[in-house]
Amino acid sequence: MSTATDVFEILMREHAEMLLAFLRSMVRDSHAVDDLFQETMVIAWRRIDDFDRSRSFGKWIRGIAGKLVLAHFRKAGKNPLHCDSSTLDWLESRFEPVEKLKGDTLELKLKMLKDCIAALSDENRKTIKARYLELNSLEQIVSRFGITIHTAKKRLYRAKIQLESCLSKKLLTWEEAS
Amino acid sequence: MIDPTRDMDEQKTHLMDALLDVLYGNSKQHSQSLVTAGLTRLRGTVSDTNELRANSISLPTQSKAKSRLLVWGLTAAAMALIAVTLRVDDTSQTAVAAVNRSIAQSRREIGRSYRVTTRFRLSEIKMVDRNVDLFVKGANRFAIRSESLLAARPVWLGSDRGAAWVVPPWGPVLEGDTKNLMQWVLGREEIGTPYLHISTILTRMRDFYALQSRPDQWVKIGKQSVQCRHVVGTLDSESSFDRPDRIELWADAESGFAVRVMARWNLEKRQALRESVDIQFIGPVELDDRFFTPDAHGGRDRRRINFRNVSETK
Repeated sequence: MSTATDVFEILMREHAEMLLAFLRSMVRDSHAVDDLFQETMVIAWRRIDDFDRSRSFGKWIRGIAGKLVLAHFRKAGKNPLHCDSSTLDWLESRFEPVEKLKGDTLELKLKMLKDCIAALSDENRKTIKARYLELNSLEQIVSRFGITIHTAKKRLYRAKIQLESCLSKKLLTWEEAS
Repeated sequence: MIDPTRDMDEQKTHLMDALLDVLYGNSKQHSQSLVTAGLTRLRGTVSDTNELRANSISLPTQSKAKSRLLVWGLTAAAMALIAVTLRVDDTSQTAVAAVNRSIAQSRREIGRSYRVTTRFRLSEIKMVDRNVDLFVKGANRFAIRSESLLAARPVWLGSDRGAAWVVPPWGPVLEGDTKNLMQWVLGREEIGTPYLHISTILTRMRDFYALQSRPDQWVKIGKQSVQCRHVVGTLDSESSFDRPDRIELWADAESGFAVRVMARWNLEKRQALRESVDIQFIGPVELDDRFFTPDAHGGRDRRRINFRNVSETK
């Protein structure tokens, strides 16, 4: 038995990256994401007694975060992706299986995504890696590959749509097999 | 008019943005800082520290083996993070309020007409302008008149609360939903504008652009000059490659209705694409309900077909 705060901290640290990714999937403003992350923590702590310990802490905390996101959009009068409860369900359908995948860290659980990146066309794979692995700016990508900014944006956009489709197929196959 | 498929695709790109950052370890440090900052905030919120100690919960099975992680700490970094997250940008808030006001105005059931000029760049030195007339009433009704490049009669297209239609210069009337209409428009350079309703472009501006208020400007409507709030929106994301890089709004300072909206794409030197869309208010017009149906524009006695069968008309 550990003190409640220690346990809460361990759980939060364990699920922090997943929660951040979940929030970032809905909210583009990074300051708002940070605010919502902390607000989620505060509500989770206050309602910790409601948490059913036989169930996933990650799912529970994403449930709290999702409600806060909808309230945030209502308050701001700004909802870029017209995010509603069905969007939250759709996102949860991606995050829940990822959480169940093998691996101690979320990074390891996302091995499937690495396989999807490997399956991209040569130019799309290089652009994705330049942006997310090597953290190049769009301008750096433009000069590095000798392409226009429009082409760079288009490549990234299309590559991400292909990756999402590939990942969701792999997750579905994995869920059916298990 | 908002395309739900496109929104879904954008949602997917946002999800991938987040997961790619996780995969390459870009968000690990930040997420842990947020936990530290959150715990600091919690400590500040819970006045009775005994409350923290009195509650006890046991770890779920998957976490039991894990050792205790970092100790509590009020770090300077965490405090700085909280300070940053609480910052409010007044200029941006004013700009959002101005755009919201214009959106509300654009949804009012008042007939208005706009002149829409789309400029295409054909080469480094050659431009061509395409003009259409846009008529709107409320958020869900619009009609566009475009001179046909090949015929003496214009093309009319529009939507009445989701039921979309096109009356071409000749041949059958096309019918379907607004998504069908949008796809049809994308293949027609003579229409030019990708925005078929003033509320669409304003909603996009509010939702996808970093907004800044600029000093008021006077804009001419016919012989009159109107004092306008000026808001500039800058696209800051690559999640959608074909959105304009900048959208500007001039909204009547008194009523808030959009007097002019200008969208611009930053084209590369040799790119031959759409460069700008300029939507200018012409004036209020009496428009009855029939105006937003094909019957009012020469389509009454013509055959009707669905957009899906559009190849029949080519």
